[in-house]
Amino acid sequence: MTATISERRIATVDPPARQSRRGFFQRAADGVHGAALTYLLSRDLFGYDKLPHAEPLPASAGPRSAYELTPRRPHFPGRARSVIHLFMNGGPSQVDLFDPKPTLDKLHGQSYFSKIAQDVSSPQQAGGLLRSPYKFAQHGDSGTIVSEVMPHLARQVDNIAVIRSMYNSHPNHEPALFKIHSGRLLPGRPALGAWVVYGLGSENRSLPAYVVLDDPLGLPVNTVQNWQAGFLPPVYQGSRVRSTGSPILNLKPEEQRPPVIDRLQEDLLSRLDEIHRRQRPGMLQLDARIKSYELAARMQLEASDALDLGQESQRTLEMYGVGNKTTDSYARRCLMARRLVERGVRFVQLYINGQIWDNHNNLQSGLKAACDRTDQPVAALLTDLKQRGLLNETLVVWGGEFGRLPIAQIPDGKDLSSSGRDHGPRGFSLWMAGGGIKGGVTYGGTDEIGFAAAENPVSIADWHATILHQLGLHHERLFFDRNGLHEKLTDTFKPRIVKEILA
Amino acid sequence: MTLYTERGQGSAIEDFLADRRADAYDRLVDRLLASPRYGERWATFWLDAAGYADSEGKRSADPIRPYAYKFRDYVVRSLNTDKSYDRFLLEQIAGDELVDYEATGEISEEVVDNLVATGFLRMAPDGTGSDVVNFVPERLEVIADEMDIFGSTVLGLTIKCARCHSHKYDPIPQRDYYRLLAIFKGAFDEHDWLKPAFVPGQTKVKKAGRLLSVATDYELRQMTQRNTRIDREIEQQQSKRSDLAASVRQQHLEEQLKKVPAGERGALRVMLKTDPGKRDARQRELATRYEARLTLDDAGLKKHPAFQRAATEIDRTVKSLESEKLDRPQIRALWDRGVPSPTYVYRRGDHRQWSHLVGPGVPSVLTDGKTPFRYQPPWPGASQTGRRLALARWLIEPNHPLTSRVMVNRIWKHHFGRGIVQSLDNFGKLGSRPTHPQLLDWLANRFVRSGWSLKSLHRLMITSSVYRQSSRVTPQRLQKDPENQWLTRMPLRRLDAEQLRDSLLAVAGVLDERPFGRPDAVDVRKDGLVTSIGKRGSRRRSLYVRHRRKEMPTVLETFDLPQMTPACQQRTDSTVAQQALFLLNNAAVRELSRDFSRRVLSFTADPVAQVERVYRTAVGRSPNDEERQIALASLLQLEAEFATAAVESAERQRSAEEALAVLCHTLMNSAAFLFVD
Repeated sequence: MTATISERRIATVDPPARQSRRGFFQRAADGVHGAALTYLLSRDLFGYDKLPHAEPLPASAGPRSAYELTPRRPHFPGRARSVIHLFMNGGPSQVDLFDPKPTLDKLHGQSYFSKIAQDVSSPQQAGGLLRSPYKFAQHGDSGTIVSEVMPHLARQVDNIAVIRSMYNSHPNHEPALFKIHSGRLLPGRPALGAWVVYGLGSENRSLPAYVVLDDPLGLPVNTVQNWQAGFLPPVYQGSRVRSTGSPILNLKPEEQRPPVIDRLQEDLLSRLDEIHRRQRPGMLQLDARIKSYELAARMQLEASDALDLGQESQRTLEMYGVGNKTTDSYARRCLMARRLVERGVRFVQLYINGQIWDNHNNLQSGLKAACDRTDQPVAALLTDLKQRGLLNETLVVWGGEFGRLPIAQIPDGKDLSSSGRDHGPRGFSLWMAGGGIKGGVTYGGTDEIGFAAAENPVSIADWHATILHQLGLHHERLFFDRNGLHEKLTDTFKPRIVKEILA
Repeated sequence: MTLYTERGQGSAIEDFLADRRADAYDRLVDRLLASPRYGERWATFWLDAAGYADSEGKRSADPIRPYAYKFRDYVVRSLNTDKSYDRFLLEQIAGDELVDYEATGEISEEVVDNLVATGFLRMAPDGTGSDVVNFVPERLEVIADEMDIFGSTVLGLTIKCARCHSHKYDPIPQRDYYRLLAIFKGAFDEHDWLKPAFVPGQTKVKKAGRLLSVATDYELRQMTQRNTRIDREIEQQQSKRSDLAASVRQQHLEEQLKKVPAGERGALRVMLKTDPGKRDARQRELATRYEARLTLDDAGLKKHPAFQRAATEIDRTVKSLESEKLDRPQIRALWDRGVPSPTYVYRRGDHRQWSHLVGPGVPSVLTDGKTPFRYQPPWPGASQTGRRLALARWLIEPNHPLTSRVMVNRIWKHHFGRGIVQSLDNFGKLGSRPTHPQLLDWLANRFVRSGWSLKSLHRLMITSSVYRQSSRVTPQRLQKDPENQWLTRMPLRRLDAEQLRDSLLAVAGVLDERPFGRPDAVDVRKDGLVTSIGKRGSRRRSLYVRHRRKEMPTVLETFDLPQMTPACQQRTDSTVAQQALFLLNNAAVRELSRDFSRRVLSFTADPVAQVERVYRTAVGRSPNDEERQIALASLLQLEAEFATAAVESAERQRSAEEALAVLCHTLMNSAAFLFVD
């Protein structure tokens, strides 16, 4: 059974007044006040901070001729308008970051392999239980525990909710990544971000709705499949925005021509298309196409502007760690993420090249290096969003695809000092902040040694449903008809929203 | 024309316009149907439905399926020769049970075709090539996908919902799903599984289980001839190499001899020619003192400058010759293996929760409920069960309620933009109602009576007055038929991904028309752009570019090429800014616009004629007065601007060419180019 497209849509918003309002702001943005003021004005004077009121499409318009990204009303009022997903590919070690295990200190070195043998990917390298090389302390008013390798985040703990009882169902990166990004262990399903923009559209028409800021040094495991639209129309897939060089593929031509030539070509194209359209009244696809060229033109202007960090103050740049060799790359992306959600981009996802959190060996130095690269930029992002009043409506999520084992992995079987930890999908930690999440909370827990989620386990489907819930989307009502099935992010799982961490 | 759209060639349209005879339109249709383009175009739809890909999918390694392309070629050829649809289905569902390919001495083309056709049932994404995911649940996933493809494509029924349990309003109960599975059990047996292509490092058994080494004598002769020729060339190269080695060794000897006392040289030459075992005491002494210095061992030879470069060159030639040799032809096929394990209904689709035993059978809702499903080995003494052959024969019975209707509806959809039943893959109660049920019945009848000829069906549709009406939308039509379900007008269509890429190449005059064979590889650039058009890339039709699930050319993906997970019954069209950015800014597209302009320039230097030529090539018609005026004015203005901007006189001379390239590029971006009425 295939529902018509109009039924499939949740609702569609396009108040007629918006065009002119946007025109005004575009003009205003050119003036001395700049984009920031435009943004503030748009929120304060027009109540833009509330989700726009929806009017269902008039019935006479029939189904849409094309899938697109007009903003749409959520199922119920949500707390968050945008999501920033700080994805930590590789599997950050929970027992060394957020989930201290005194038992590990006590039993350090004791053999434990036989009890978890079936979960150890590299049994020949398995050592005894391994205590954390780091010290833990309570921070903030809430007393949330964070280890010493994240000193910057430690000052932000009252804004975040740590979940200690996440679990995944596969010990290999590839399937685990598919699971955390798209709900099942297989490729080919739409990513979380794709579902969100399918459901809500975008509030910025000059930028892609789902932006992926990947690392200039290289793609993560599973590469572009991490942000694919799967069986959803391709318009919902993540758009890679590069933090160096031209930010969007084909945004600018590789060769430059005199600007007058570009203008002449633009003019010629629009005149020829106008003739074509005039001869074919009532063709919605042609209007959509002309709009897409207009958006392309706006993107050429605005994407560069949105991503121009030169507009940031020196203080802000320093706070994020831009210019500092260790933090520079990630800091730039965090700052871009803020600039993007500020402009109404719905879903921003950050990646790091390779797998810096995949600490199979040299845990002590490797994990610290990963934290050194990211801790300051991440904490600065929270501070910055908060001081700009954006944290309330921006859901920030931090975490990887799984965690790590409590026992040591000793690469050569001898040298304990070079030891790391193997993949541990049965229990891991991540945190969420802003967008209606209660700060200063620590939820759930693992067993005595941090091997598996034990207290209030949170499945990935639970986690997905919770994110959707904060955006005002119900996981059962956000579906796509395909081969007679209502396909959903949470598939056939029966998730539970983690109400305990909601404000 | 929805048969296929030829941008950049334009001859069919010009011929049509020049043809003043009363039946000019019918002649046009005949010409189009006779063109090899027809099969290439319509193969796309069948391959979409079958889930065609050149890789296994499922895992991020996405290993290549090296022989999948033969199925693609089979589909193209079958359509071009207008193979009857009943035969087409018969081969794809039970080709292995049609002829005893193991017993027949000489393999005919027909036998090869039959086996290649079964590739239809080998298209689903499949991760079981890796040992860690080759267990019963993963195998069942693959089988479920194949059933899904079979049901949607051939029966026009969505059957996969019945895998886990029966649904109240669905006429296909769970039991029927498993009965259908039992038909395929001889080939798809989760307890007796053939693995797909061997992936280095991911499996212990290094044998690909799905290849049949069956070939016609012609293919084998071709292979032998070619390989013999190559072997001869390799031999020549190798003798060249040993000649070279001998002469370098001789040269070395002469050089070294000059360094020993003249009196001993003669004795040394004699010593070297004497077999070491037969040397006298004096010669042995000389050997100890001088031999190592005088002769070159293999390592020394390799390092010798006179040898090294030439030998490397020879080695490279040999290597490339080796790679040109043909492997014994292989077919990626599905075949019945004779002893299927029993089929149980799996509760919730879980193999650990088996319940009733079921036998093979087709969905009961499609039968009279009395006649049992009969099958027998396809020939006396056959090891095959004959179950799929019986299924195929049942499907192509002239009065089968679905087979002909489903195909007629599919063809209709691709001509008129929507099916008479809008849900192509979901006929019946749970799908959408047909808008014109009598028309569907009539067409299906005609189709079967014409001997299941697809070309006749096309001709019937596109010579109809419905097809020949205009695409104009009037307020009245819009009001009374907003969704065009009553066919008050022809729909406007955007070129789909393959058509667009092929058209860009064709108008530029660089389309490589070579059909068939191994797909052309693609290039994944560091910034993520996947290219095929670039300088190094393929310029063949998109159909012949490698369809690897994880890396499709950016141009195709941007313009909505579907992902095969497992297949695609209906494509979605998106209209997004990335498409505009691609056409406007992509360097390869701009390069093609230059090729286009050079092509026009070689034809005429007159701007008026150039505009005419650009229009005819890009959109297959002359510009109207307004368009001509605008295009011409812009062309002249562009040329003036280029001339002003030019610093050197050489650049100034090229300003006309540059200006024309901009016009060409603009046309390649225009709605008139991208949309077909």
